[in-house]
Amino acid sequence: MGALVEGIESITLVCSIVLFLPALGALLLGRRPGLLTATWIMTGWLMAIARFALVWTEPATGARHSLTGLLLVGLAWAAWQDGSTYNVRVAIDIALVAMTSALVTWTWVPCVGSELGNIINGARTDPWPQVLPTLLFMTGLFLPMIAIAAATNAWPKLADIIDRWYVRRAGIALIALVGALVAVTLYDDVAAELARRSSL
Amino acid sequence: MGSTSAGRAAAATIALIAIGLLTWVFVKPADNETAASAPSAASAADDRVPNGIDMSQDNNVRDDTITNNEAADSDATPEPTPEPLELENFGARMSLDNLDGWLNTDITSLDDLNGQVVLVEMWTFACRNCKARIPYNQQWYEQYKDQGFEIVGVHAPEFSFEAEIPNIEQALIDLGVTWPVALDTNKRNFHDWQEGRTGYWPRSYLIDQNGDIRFDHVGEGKYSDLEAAIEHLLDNPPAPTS
Repeated sequence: MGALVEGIESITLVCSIVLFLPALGALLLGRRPGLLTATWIMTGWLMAIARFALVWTEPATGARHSLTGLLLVGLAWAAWQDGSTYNVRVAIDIALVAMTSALVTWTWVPCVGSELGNIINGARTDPWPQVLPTLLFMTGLFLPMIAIAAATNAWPKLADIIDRWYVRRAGIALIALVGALVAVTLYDDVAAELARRSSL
Repeated sequence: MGSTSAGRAAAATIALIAIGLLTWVFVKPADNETAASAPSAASAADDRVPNGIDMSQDNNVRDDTITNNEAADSDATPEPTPEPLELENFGARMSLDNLDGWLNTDITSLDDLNGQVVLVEMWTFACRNCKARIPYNQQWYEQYKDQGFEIVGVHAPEFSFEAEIPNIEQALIDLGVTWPVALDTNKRNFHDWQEGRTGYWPRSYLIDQNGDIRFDHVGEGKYSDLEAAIEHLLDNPPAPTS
């Protein structure tokens, strides 16, 4: 349970900002916010444990990282078209959110408290006992996202607002911007400016 | 989107938040060792058994870092025989290359500290978890510096404002950092030292007199274990290697 609490505490860390901007974009996609939130957290969780366990050691710099940013822009473009059937559109949204979450969790360099430290130190030698604590940490970190997704279920008017086409396109544009900034290696700089302006 | 499912979702969210808040209030003081709770020697000593191992955080002890047999039985007998502390040897340290300079020191290389016990800490001044370690470092620096202990902070900035030297210098003053600080602005050493080029703030490596890494920890915590390791290396220097 300590991992959940530390995840909640980490919401205010300057190191976490790189995760929240695109998470907002994912929420604004509109359709099925609960499903998209679950996709976001599960993908981030898998990427995080892969990194902690040294299964994923690709550095978040260089050509592959930039190329993934470009792919994200391409997927955002596909979501922007908004064609085809409802199910296909939802599938594109899920793919877009999963890819965004994986990319930003890959990019994320965490500031590590004692609980996350236990997870990372333990995962280096024996990852399996750290799988659940990592999920708890990520759940705590994205608790605001869960709350907003739940609120759209509880208040249909809020769901209607998020479901408007221009809100959805704002979300897609935000994700595409993140992808483009990653591609040109400026994402950290933008996050820094946000951190400075928010006086964190 | 029926009202039943909406109600369930809202109830689940409220329950989750309530559990989090309750845990925050009731659990945190007991299971965390924070900067606010234990920067003093007296408080650190209170939760330690005579052999120097922190019993309040034995779940934090990485088995391959410190081995202290039967430490959990410390209250079984009034005078337990202290077992020798055994520190894992993680191999020779790397060097600090391609730095952008040093602050708070005249040294120009980690090699200048050969023969000393050196705590190398990866950090950046805007990182809250890094700042939480500073009171402990201050205490150890004051306590052990004259016995052959040194600290080197490797400042690896996350954001551009953390890379500006005037900002770093001001932060060192504000935070009370008096030990040598290596400027690793491009984070080459930050990534090179961490396996798989991963990067975490903070990360602490304790280097023995031969230049081998004897303690390795990511994040906050394990303060008493680290202090025990420092004391052990100062009191029991390894045999010199050729």
